[in-house]
Amino acid sequence: MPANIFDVVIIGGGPGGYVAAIRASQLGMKVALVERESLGGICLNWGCIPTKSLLRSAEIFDYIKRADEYGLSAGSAGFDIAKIVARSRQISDQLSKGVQFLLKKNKVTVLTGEANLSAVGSVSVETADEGTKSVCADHVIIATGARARQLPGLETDGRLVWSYKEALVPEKVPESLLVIGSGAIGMEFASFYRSLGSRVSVVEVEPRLLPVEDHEISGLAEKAFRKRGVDILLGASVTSLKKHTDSVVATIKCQDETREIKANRVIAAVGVTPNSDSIGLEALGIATDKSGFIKADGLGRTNVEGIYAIGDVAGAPCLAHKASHEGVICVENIAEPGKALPLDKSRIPGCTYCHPQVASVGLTEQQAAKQGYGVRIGRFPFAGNGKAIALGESDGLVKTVFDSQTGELLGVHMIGAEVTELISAPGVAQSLESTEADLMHTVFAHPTLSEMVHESVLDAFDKAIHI
Amino acid sequence: MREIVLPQLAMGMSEGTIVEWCVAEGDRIERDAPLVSIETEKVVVEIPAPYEGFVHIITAVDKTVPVDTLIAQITSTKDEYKQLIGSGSGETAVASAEEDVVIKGEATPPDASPGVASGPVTGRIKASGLAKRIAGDEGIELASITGTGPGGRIVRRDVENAIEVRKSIPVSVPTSIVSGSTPARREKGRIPLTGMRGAIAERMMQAKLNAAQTYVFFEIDVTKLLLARETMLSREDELGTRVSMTALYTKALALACQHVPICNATLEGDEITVWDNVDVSVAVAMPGKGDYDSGLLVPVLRNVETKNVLQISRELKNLVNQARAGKLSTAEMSDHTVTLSSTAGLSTPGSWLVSAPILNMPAVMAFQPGTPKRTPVVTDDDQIIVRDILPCGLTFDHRAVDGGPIGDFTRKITDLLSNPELMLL
Repeated sequence: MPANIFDVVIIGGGPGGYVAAIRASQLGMKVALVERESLGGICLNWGCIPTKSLLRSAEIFDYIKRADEYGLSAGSAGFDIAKIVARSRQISDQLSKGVQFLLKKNKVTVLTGEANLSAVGSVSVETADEGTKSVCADHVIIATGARARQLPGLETDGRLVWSYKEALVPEKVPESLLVIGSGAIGMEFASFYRSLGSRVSVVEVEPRLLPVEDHEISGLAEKAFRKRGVDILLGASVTSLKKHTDSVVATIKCQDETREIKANRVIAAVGVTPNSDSIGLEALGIATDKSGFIKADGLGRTNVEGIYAIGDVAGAPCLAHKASHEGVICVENIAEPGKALPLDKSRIPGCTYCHPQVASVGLTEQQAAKQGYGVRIGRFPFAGNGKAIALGESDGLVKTVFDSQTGELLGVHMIGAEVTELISAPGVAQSLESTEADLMHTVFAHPTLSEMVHESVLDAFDKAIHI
Repeated sequence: MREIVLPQLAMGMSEGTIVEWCVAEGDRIERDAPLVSIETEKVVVEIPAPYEGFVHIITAVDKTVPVDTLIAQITSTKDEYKQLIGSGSGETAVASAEEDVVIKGEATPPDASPGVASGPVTGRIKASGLAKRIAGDEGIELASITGTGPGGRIVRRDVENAIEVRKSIPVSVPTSIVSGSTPARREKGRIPLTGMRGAIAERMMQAKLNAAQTYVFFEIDVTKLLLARETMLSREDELGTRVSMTALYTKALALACQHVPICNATLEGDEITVWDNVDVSVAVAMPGKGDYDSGLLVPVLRNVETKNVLQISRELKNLVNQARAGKLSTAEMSDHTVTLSSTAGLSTPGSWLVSAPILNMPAVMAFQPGTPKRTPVVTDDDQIIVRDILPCGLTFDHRAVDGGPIGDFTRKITDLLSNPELMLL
C-alpha cells in the first residue's frame, strides 16, 4: 500500500478521533489521524481534564477551610493561582503525551495540520512546515468536535469576556465574575471561582439551573449554590454589555425586571457550535442540520458513503465518552459491517464536577412522565448514609426513576459528593436492562456512598431501610 | 462419563418432551432409579437411570428435542462431575438455576413463532432482566427469540419485536369490540399443535389422506342387551365391577371379527395382514392441556377374543384410568388390529345420532356404537312397540375390505348385540 493510502483517515484527535484510530488499528486497519492542534482534543487540553484539575485544587482548598470540622489545623488557607493553573497544564500535557504514545504504539500515522475533504476518499492536509499533503482512504471519519458558541454581543474577547479557554488559564482570580449559562461548563467555572473567592453571578435563560437535569436536582443545585453565596438569576438573559478597562456592566432582563451586574470578568458558556464549517462538507454534499451538526446514524454513517461523523460534530450530547463510544462503534462497523450495535443515546451518563457534584443517566422524572411512563420514584438523602456523614458530606440526594409497569430503571439522578463516581453502576444496570428486582438483589458494599443507589431503588418500592 | 440420549420409545417416535427430571442437577442417582419423565406423542414414560452416578442435566423441563439428542450426562464420581461442570465448554449449564433457561442440541422450541425462530440453540439463553419480565408478562418463550444485544443477549427490543411478530401472524389481532359494520374476531386462546394435540392432528390427517375410508350406518336393537346388563349391574358388588356397555360392545366386536377375519386386519405398505388375535384399540377421551383443548388416547386391549365380558370390563377400566393418569406406555397403545370408538359418553340418547369414526391406521376397520335410544319399532306383524335402538357407524378401508365382508360383519355384530346370549357360546 502506498504511503499516502490508508484504510481509514480520521480528522480530529480528540476523544472521538484518537479512540477510533486506536480501535481501527487494533482491527488491522492502516490508520491516519489528522490533528491541527494537540492530541486529546478539547477534552484533554481545554475541557474535561484541566477543569478537573482546577476543581480538585478548589475542592482541597474548601476542605482546608473546613479543617477544623475534621479536627485538623492547617494554618491559614491560601493559594497560588499560577501554580494551580500550572498543575492543570502539566496534567493536560502529560495526558496528551500519553495519547501520542498510544497512537505510536498502535502504529497510527499522525498528521499535524488542517484537514479538508477534497473528494470522497481523499483528504488534503495543510501542514505548517511540509506544505499540503494528500491522503486517501475508503473510509473518512470526521471527528472535528465543537467549540464555544458565540452569542452576538457576548463574543469572547480574551480579555474581559472569556470562553472556557481563557477561564482555564487565569493570571489572577477575578474579584467578581459573571457566568452566562448554567450548563456543566458554566457551573464548573462558577464553582471553581467561587471556591477561590470570586463573587459569582450566574445567568441562565431557562427557569432552572443545570437545565438538562431532573427538576428536583436542579432545585437542589440552586439551593446549594445559593448557600455558597452564588447569585443566581433564572429565566434571565443579558441584553447588553458595557466594557470598561477591567470590568463590564451587564444589563440583565430577569423575568419582568431589569438588573445591572458589574463584574470583572464574564464567562460565556452558552453551549457549543460544531466544527463543521471549514472542512469541505458542502462540496461533497454531506448533510448537516440547521445548527451545522453533521447528520449521522447510530453507526456514524453520513449520507455520503465512506464518510462518517462521530462525537460533538455529529450532534448532542457533546460529551467525550459519547464521542469515544461512537468512534469505536464506527470503526467496528467499518471492519465488520452488521456486527456493531448502534449507540443508545438515551443511556449516556452526564456529569458536572461543580461542588456539589451532579450526575445523571437516563430519563428524568419529567421526561419519563412526558413519554407516557407510569413512574415510581425512589429518593435517598446523603444524610441517611453512614459513609456520607463520615466524609462530612451529608448534603445530597440519589433519585431513581422506574417504569411502574415493567420495573425498568429509566433514570438515576444524583447530587452530592462523588456522585460522578456513583453514576456508572446505574449506567451498567441500565445497559443490562435491569429491573428493580436485579438491583434489589445486588449486594452493595458497606459503608459506601453507592449504598444510596440501593436504598433509593428500595425506596421506589417502599422498602428503604435507612429512612 | 456416560451420555443419556432421548430414547426412541416407539416406532415412528421422532421427538420427545422432558416432563420432569426425577433428580436435581448434580445429585447422585442409583441405577434403575427413576431419572426422567419423557412425553412422546402418545404417552409419558418414566426412564430409569441406566447407570449410577452424578447427573448433569442438559435438556430442561418442557423442552422438546429429537430422538438421540443428548439430554443428560452421568459421571461416576463427584470429582468427574465437577470437572464436567467446570470444564467451561460454554455448552453446558445448570438447569436448576432459577432464571436460566437451558436447552441443548437440535431443540426447536415447540411454539417458536415464524420469523423469530432461532433454530438450534445451545446453552444458556442470555436475556436482560427487563426482557425476561416483559416476555413473562406477554407469555413469550425466550427460547423462541433471537437476541440482538451484546453477545447475542435478548434485550427489550427483541421481545417487543417478537410481540409484534406474534401480533402480525393472525389475520386479525385481538381488538375491543367495535360496534358497527366491521365485526372483529377476538382471540381467546391458542393451542399449539404439539404433543398429544399434534399427534392427533397428524394421525387424523394421515388417515383421511391415505385410506379409502368408506362409511356404513346401521341400527341394532339392544333391548335384550340392556336387560342382560341390568342383571349384571344388579350383581355389581358380587362381580366387583360395573360392567360397561363398552365392554359388551368390545366383546361383540371381537367375536364378529373372528367371524369375518378380514375386518381384523392392518394394511401397511403393499400388504394386508390378517390377524388371529383381536387387539382392540379403544378411544379414550382425555382432558386437554389448556382451557379449550381436549385430548384423545387409544389404549389397546389385547386378545379380546379369549376374554370374557367381566375381564374385558375390568381391563378396560384399568386402561382408561392409566391413560388418564398419563401412565400408559407407548407399547400399551401400539399394534392394534381393530378400533372401537364409542360416542356413548359424549351424548345423551338421540343428541348424537350416529357418526362415522376415522380409521386408527393401520387397522382397516373402526366401529362406533352410539347411545341406545328408546324408539318405536314396527314389528313383523305390523305392531308398533318400543325398543332400545343403538345407532352405529362403521368405517372401513375399501383398499383392504369390500362391501361383502362388511355386510357379513354388520349382520354378525347386529346378531350378537341383539341376542347377547349368543356371546355365551
